[in-house]
Amino acid sequence: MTGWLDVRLIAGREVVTRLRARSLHVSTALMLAIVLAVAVLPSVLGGNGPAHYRVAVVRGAASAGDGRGAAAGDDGGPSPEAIAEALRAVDQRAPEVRLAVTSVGSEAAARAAVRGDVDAAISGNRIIVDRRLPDALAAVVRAAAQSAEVARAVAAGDVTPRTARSLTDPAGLRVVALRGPSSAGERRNTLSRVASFLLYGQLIGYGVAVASGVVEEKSSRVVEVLLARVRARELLTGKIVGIGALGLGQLLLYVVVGLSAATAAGTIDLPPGWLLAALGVMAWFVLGYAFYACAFAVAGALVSRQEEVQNTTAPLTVLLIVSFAVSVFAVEDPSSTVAVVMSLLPFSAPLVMPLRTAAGGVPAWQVVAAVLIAVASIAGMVRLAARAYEGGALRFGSRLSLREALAGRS
Amino acid sequence: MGYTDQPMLDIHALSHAYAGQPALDAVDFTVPGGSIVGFVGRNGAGKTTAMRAIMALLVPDAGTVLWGGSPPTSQTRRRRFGYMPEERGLYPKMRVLDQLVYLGRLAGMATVEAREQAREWADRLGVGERGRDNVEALSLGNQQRVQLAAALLHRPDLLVLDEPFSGLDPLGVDVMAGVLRAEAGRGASVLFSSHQLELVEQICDRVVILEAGRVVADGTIAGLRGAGPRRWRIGVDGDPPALAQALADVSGARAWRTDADGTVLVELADGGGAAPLGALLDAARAVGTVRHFAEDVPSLAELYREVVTA
Repeated sequence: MTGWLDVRLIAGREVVTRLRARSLHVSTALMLAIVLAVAVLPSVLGGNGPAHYRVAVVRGAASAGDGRGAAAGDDGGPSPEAIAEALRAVDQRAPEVRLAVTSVGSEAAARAAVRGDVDAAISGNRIIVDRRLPDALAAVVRAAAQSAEVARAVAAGDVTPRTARSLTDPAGLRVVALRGPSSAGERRNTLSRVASFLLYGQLIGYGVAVASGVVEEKSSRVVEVLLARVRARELLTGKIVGIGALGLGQLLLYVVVGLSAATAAGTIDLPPGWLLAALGVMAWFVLGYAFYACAFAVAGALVSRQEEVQNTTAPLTVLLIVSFAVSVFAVEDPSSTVAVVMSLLPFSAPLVMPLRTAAGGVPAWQVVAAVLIAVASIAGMVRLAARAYEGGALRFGSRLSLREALAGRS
Repeated sequence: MGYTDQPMLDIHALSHAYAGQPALDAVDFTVPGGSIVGFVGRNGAGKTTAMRAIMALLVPDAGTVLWGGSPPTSQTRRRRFGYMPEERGLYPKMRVLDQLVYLGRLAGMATVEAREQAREWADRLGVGERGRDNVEALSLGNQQRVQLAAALLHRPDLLVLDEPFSGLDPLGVDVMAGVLRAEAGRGASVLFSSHQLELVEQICDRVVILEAGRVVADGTIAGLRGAGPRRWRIGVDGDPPALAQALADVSGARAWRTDADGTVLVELADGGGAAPLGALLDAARAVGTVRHFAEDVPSLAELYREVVTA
């Protein structure tokens, strides 16, 4: 099979010369920097020094909503002012926690403060937080409430079984999360957004690389020297395979570096099924690249100069941008009609389907259908590209129409 | 008829049209094994189209290309044919030696062999020191040397070179001519196109003249000369019109042209043998002292002009 030997030679040249190009080094370094920044920055910003928290206490708020708290009535539980006082004492005693305690007049004000930059607000026997109460802060608040309650009980001199219980669990404090902690689904969405961005970048970058590679050979006229030795199909296949291997390798590098760095830095807990999702992203890159590489090769074969290639690649670029936009939207609403349809169409499926499957709830038949449609249309694109390339590779000068290129060599 | 036992390239009834415009019209010619054939004709006469058809870079509308009596396979073409297109082409951002090795490998060579030959040819053509430079850093003349090396390093049996001399300085022309002679010397057949007719005359065994897609002359240069009427150039110390008149009166001859230096070109009628020569000499003597009396051998350029404008 000399054909495959040629394809390997041609693909090898693509990889070696491109690996040597400074532009690849720069773009890879830049992308890795972005990936690392996204992966590691949140934990770096979190820092390892003392944790700073802002706590608001609602003045005069009665303990309510809890049977025990309600039963305590006006004689049970420490006053908000006592808790605030205890919290300020914690700030002075515990070096690992820095507290800024403020008092607010109403619970509404407390909720507003929590939506702003206050980490927790104490309103009666409730601790109001935005998403979740940081463990360190929870411990501190409980300790403060406890010590305030002990002080009150000692002052009142009424140590009863009930107050003894309230010494260990003062006021029955419980957490009321306004939005709740981020779920596995949300963590998945964050990863999906990053994956979608990477996929889009790789598809557009390497698709354009195929088009300009084809034009490079046409504009330098080396294509005539090459085609005296190898068939057009082999030249095209080798080029697409070589550039694609580089694109896949780069994507793999980004994913591995990004996930390892994020895991090591503790930024993310990988949601269940992440490995399968990552492999799915790789597989969809291969399918999407195969589709777009053929299309971009045709776009390149139609022109003879690098300045003209943007004209013929523009429709493909637009198609990719639209698909990417839909994928961004699909993260939010994966089962909408637009997302479902776009996840089946061959030009948008590579960007939309991996996000839908990551979000879950996609019927298996849809995934199978999307893959089959993609494979079938790739087979068609390969034929179209081979024919247009054979027709266009040796036709220099003004821009060809697709019809002219498909009409064959002459 | 072969110069060596190399296979003969046989072009038979080749026709091709671009969008209805005929470029080749039933073209027949041969490149005998081991010969150097010059392919001559004005721009657009169809030379490049014929060469591309030989290299299977285009599929002709009609006609056949035979190598040793049968159509060459793609494997034969890549391994046994060497091609230099009219529009030179190399990867600008690839190193000279890497590029030669790559093209050698695509021509079916093993890596080690391709490396050896690449280095050897780069040295031989005077670009050995530039082996690690990118092609785009070389002068156009040197790029053309690399191009020639690319066509030659797999030791092809047939060289198809489209305008190999164009754009070369006089030194480059000498190098190229030397290489073509050496390649023919080792047994390769060479077909090259050129507008430099003096070069074609010096180097080639045979000439094929193409005009508007048709072969208008095909043969050895001596044969082409022999095919035309024999001419003698005669000069005397005397009045040129009187000389021309006197010569025209000799039977079996006609005064064909009076040149600026006062000499008269006389065309002898076919089959007249040497008989009119004595009469011509006598007629010239009658006009004045004869200072020039010799057979006029037409140059290829003259032959070319005659066939093309006929």
